[in-house]
Amino acid sequence: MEPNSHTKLFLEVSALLTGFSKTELKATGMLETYYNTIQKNTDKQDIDYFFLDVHVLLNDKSKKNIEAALASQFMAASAYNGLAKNIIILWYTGNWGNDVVSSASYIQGLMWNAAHTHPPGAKQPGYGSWAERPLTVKNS
Amino acid sequence: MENKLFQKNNPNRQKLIKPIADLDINEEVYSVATDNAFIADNELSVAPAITAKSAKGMSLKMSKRDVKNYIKDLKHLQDCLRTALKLELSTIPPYLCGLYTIKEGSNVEAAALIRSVVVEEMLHMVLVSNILNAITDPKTIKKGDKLFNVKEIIPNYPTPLPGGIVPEVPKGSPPFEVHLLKFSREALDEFSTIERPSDPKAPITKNFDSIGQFYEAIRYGLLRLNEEAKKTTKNGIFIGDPSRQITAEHYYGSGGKITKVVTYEDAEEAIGEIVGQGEGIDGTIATEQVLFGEDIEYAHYFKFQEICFGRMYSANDTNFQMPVKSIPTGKPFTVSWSSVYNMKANPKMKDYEKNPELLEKAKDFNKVYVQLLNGINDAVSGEPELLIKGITVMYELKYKALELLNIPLENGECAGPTFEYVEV
Repeated sequence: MEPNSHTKLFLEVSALLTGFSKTELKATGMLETYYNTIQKNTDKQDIDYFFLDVHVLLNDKSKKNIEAALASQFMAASAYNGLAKNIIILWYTGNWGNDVVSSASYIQGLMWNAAHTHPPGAKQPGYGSWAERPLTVKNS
Repeated sequence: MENKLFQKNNPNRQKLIKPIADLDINEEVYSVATDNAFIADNELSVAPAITAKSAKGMSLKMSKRDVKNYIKDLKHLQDCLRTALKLELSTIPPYLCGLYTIKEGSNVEAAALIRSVVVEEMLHMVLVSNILNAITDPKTIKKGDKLFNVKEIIPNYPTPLPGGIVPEVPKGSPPFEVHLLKFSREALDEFSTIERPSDPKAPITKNFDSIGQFYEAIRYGLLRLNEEAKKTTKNGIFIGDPSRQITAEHYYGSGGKITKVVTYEDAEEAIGEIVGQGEGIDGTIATEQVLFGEDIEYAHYFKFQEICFGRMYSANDTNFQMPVKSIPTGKPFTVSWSSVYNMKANPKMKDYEKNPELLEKAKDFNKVYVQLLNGINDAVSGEPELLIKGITVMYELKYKALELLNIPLENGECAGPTFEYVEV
């Protein structure tokens, strides 16, 4: 395997797990931080098996429905010590478990984008915005 | 914050720019007419006389007489003001690229300085619109007409400065063009060149050598055409609909003073604000008054000099002697050229075609940009109360730009906002 294929797989699987595109995930600027976060907090064996199986899944041409396979094989709390679930929570909230990873991760949480709102205390939408439909809604 | 010295009712208040000597101008206009007649009559003998005349009083790059007579008629004046709008707008994306590429938490002083300049450039767009509205006969405006065309006003970077302004560049360099660059020495050089005051010793050409000189031509045009029109109508050329003016109540936030333009004097004040903020107050400033207090806003050129030198100007620095050579001697601050997003220079949507997701992000940014300009256009086209809605859009513009800057390209650079026109 090439040296940084884990980071590539992490991006691929994160896009599948979150429903945000790979470019959108990169645009948060959090990819590296989150990859390091799972490395630091997850058992090495779990990580290795997780990426091995993700790699197999993504390269299996016969699998028509990747999402269904993800749901059945990866989402159980017992699977890879709940890594898939943790990755979703990490991207959406910027938290690992109950701990916030960094101030940037709080700001970049996908939950704010998903709800067309902004993290309280950051990314202010500006004076008078409360009287308008969010721009992201208008433009989508 | 309010500096008493600049208040209108203070008799010692310094004029932002030197008032035009009214008599002088007519004389010059006549002299052109006579010169021309003379040349036709006796071309050979007069030619040296003209050269001598131009060489004597000329201190600007375009000769003073050319500047005075640059504006031909009202239509030309209105066209020039539209060009001025384009000019002001053309400076905003490069400044924003400089600002957005500074990484959070670094270059705090530099970011604050650039930000204050951007805010003032937006003010300048509004001031120019006010002047244009003030001299536009409401009867000539059709319903639904906009003051400018958003698609046409957006420049394609790199671009020369609109309005035939050709700033001097070091010998051997290509003609000056405005590029979209990350925060860097090159960018700061570019910013300083944009805002640099006219060099009194510069040789004479057919081009304006500074934004200030271009506005000088507009001022002379306003004055002359207004004086002419006043012979037949009371208000001269200032017959615009006052309800189209943007006033202080419509403009939210900091960055200079908004001037409602209904007379020539108002227009002169507005131009004074634009030129004064850009390159500083022409000539010298009275020495009796302390003008370099902490709460004085420095002109853009000097703000950029501060970043170049990593030092604020101090109260004792003299900066208004031409040509500008002054170096700031005040409080030092840290400038880090490395705590910066490595944005590709002059990014274009075309560069992103191979990556459809990235292209989509670039389009999203441009949509917000065009929405912002549409909003400003609506506000200056008879609905001034809409200006305030632009604030939300401006914030969104920044967040969209930062998203692009987080996306790495293959060569170690990162994507960036392209500031191009898209349909919304």
